[in-house]
Amino acid sequence: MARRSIPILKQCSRFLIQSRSVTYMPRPGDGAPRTVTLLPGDGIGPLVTGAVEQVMEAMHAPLYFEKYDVHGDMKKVPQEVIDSIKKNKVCLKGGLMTPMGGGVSSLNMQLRRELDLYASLVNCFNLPGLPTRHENVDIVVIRENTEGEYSGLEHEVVPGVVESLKVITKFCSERIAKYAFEYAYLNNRKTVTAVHKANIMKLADGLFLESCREVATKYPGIKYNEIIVDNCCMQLVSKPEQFDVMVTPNLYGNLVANTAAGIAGGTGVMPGGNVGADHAIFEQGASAGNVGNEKLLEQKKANPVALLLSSAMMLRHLQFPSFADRLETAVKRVILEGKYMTKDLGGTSTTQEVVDAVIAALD
Amino acid sequence: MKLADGLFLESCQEVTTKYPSIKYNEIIGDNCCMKLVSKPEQFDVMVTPNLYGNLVANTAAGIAGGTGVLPGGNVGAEHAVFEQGDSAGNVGKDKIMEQKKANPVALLFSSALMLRHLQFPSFADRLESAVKSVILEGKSRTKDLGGDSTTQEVVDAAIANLD
Repeated sequence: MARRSIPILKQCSRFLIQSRSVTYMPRPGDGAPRTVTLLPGDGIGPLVTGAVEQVMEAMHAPLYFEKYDVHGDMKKVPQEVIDSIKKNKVCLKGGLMTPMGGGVSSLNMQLRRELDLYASLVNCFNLPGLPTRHENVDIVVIRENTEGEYSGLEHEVVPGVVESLKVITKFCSERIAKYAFEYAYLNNRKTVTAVHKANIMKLADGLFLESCREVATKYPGIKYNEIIVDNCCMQLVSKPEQFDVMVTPNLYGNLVANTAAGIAGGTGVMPGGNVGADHAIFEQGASAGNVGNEKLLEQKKANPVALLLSSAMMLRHLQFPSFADRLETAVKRVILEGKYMTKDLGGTSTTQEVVDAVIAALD
Repeated sequence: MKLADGLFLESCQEVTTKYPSIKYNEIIGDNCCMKLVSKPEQFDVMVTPNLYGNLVANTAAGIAGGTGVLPGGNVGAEHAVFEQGDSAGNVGKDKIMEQKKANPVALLFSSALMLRHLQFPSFADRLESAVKSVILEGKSRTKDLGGDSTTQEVVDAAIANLD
């Protein structure tokens, strides 16, 4: 890949980022507007979801947002929100803070469990215009979203001794492996890597690996390999370009996704989503605690790029590929030009300035 | 045809009001054919009744590279049939059949359209890129594009170009 360090003219950027001219033949009625549940959430959530709303309006995208107020310190997600998501099937979420300790279970986990969103996907890739230490990074982390270390089963055996149960089931491991291989197949990916620590957790991670191996035999055209999670972290920071699609249980996925996001440009730009058999919630790929960052909120410098790219993924999920392409092209143009970047990317713009630049770059 | 085509135009005008950001204009059939052959870049999407569409599509295909390369399809509320964009009488041509020099590009592009319709966009993109590279290279082209390859040679080149 040719090195492009500092793009000078917008003309130059128009050539570098070619919007594909592809023909989609819609079925009659495909242009009917779809309703999407919108949960702005806490902290920087409303800022970035506001950004998405503005850009969707500017594109005249065939979407209606149904907004609901949910905050991380609520006891549980309101029933009307769950009903809305069940009706609309697709949701866009800003960010919900999970309070530490205190026995309040995470609302994020509650949403994922109730809607059975068993696959979490984060796409970490180098963006032209954002040079990082490594190049050619394009990793998709597919993480099991419902069990594992996040089962929420903890108890104090005796005062001072706590047991935490990590639950791994064949059912969940199999379906996440199937999703990962199917994703790789449908998106022309060459390798699926399973991340585990089966040398220590012989039964739990061993079961996970067995399920992955079984599914791998059904996809002979896709390479399959396994890597122990500590080696994986080390390889991620030294040679990330070797990874393609990674399938992981819950906790490792969280760590690997955030590491990969940091390597490839930061959690402010990586898109992602959670999908189940019937519903999908799109949100920033990896948020590593950004949601409650007060300073970002006050100065309105939260990076909207991640949620904008996630909403492009959502547009494709809703089968509006042309709008998705326009949105992605505009965002990539803005990053390539480098004039409007928020603090985490080394610039000084506010969220609103980035949004205006994206809207200006739309065609 | 004041009543017949008049009704068609009325219907188009009504639908237009629901899409304010899309420009709409009308052009008479003969003027359209003339403009197509002199300044085709002014046209974008064209909606036509049945007969004019047949003529306009084949003219536009001829302008832009020939009926051998352009994709198309037929779609209804529930079904879709994909085929070569325009065939203008090619189907029954014996000579092309005997020498096996029919151009597969059009149907390959149409099948890419079909893959997108079936929601396999990644396969569609790979197919289109491969076929476009073959045409760009220029080494394997059938007679209608100025070369002398057979259908099979073009197919082999497209397969070699897949990634």
